[in-house]
Amino acid sequence: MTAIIEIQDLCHFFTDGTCGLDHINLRIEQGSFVVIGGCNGSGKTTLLRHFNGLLLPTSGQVIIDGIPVERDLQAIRQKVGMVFQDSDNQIVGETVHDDVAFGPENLGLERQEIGRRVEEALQIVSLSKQRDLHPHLLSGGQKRRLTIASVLAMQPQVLVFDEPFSNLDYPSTKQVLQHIVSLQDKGHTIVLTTHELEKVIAHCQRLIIMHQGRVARDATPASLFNELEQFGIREPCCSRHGIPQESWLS
Amino acid sequence: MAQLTSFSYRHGASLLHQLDTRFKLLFMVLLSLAAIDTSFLWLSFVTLSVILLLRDAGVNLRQTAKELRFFSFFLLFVLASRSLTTDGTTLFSWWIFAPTMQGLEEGVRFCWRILLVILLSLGFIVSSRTGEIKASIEFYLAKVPFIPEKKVSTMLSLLLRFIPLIFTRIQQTIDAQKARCIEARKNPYYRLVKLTLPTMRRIFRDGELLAVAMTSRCYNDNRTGLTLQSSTLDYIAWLVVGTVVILRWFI
Ligand SMILES: Nc1ncnc2c1ncn2[C@@H]1O[C@H](COP(=O)(O)OP(=O)(O)OP(=O)(O)O)[C@@H](O)[C@H]1O
Ligand SMILES: [Mg+2]
Repeated sequence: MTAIIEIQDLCHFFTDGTCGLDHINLRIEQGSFVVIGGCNGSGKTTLLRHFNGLLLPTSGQVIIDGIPVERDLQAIRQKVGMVFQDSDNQIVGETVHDDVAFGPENLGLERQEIGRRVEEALQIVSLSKQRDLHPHLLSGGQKRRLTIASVLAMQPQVLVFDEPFSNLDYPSTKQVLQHIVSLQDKGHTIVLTTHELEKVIAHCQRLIIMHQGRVARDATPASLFNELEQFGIREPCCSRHGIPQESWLS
Repeated sequence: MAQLTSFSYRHGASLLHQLDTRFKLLFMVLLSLAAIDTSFLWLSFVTLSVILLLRDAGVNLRQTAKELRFFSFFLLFVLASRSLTTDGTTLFSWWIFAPTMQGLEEGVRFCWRILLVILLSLGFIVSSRTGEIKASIEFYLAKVPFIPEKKVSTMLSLLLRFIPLIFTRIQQTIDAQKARCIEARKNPYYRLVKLTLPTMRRIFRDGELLAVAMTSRCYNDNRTGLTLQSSTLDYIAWLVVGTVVILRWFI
């Protein structure tokens, strides 16, 4: 398998001298579903922000699809779409349609192509009916889906989700999860952070645990179950009760 | 569900929505200028028309009035100071206060004009998308030499985008502090400090997050802009507004 994301010896220090990331080495294969876990402040968000050049390494290198991030930020940001933790702060349009069009407009596409991509993205997350609403009038789950559509319209290869289930109720969580899983089926690479493993465990192939800015564990989820609690992550029910894993979608 | 302030774009198909944003911008500026030192008859006529147009565009005027209630203190202050400092026939005199008829008239005229300008900009904002506003500002600035029109219009449209967020944050902070009984504190200075500092902090943080999210979606100056189109309707509106502006010198 070809690696779409390759991270070599990445360190990141914030301006105040705090060490955010400490010698990270990772290879993420094209088309895989990777979950990054870890307690608050373990460096998950900081790591994700290196994937599309929102933060640049203090030392080391991040290579996306063969291109070092700092060489062509515009191209990297188109390849790696990022859905942030807080939906409100990433919605920029006055209507649902305008918000989804924002990314393609930035890429300088033709009006017609923009219209086509917007419709397609809205269809995927089932928001076509709400296209003329003001985004701030949407429910939490709809907002999260809107942010996913906004990123999809840029046709990225990799989709990065930072805590995609925060603030969502059970039906919305299922809906968002359903969309994420079907995006992987369509060939997108998915990287997702969460501290509620339970919700995604049945769908991911790889679990990376961050701890104090370092990669503490990196293996299949099932092989890490009995170590989870020491990193501040709750062990999934199936493991505690010795029953088979069950998807939230079934 | 979030509460929207009235000062934000609403999708619609009203008369205001159908007009080209470049024309609306021009009308707003012309009418605001024409309203300086004009007759009460003209002011009443224009204000009434604007109110009808706003209702047609789906603006809830009661909610707008509620949002502007703090502003009315400022207007009252202006009214009082005008009526006290202008020379003319004294209305009544009490202690050191002696408001004049002429002063009162001046004050009312001035406040009315400010209100009219607010209503005009309200009509402009509810019916124009940020992208359209940006494109029209760019259209006018492109005619002025030595101004980087793309940069300026980007900055202005970002500011417009940010205003509703600021209102929401202020309201949220007020609510959170009411829940912790800030109203028991009588000192207005204390309350102002306690409101301003956390709100400012949050607004800066919001601004930063918004900027990061826009950066990650490749925001740049050379994006596909909106193409604005004018129709016959815009030229008819131009005629009407032109006539109203000229009438200013006759009624
Ligand atoms: N701009 C900054 N300056 C200094 N330190 C920072 C900055 N941003 C983050 N940090 C610190 O870096 C560490 C990692 O933060 P990060 O946001 O990556 O954690 P996280 O794993 O995403 O946590 P959470 O689960 O709460 O989202 C934290 O200790 C945080 O305090
Ligand atoms: Mg985080």
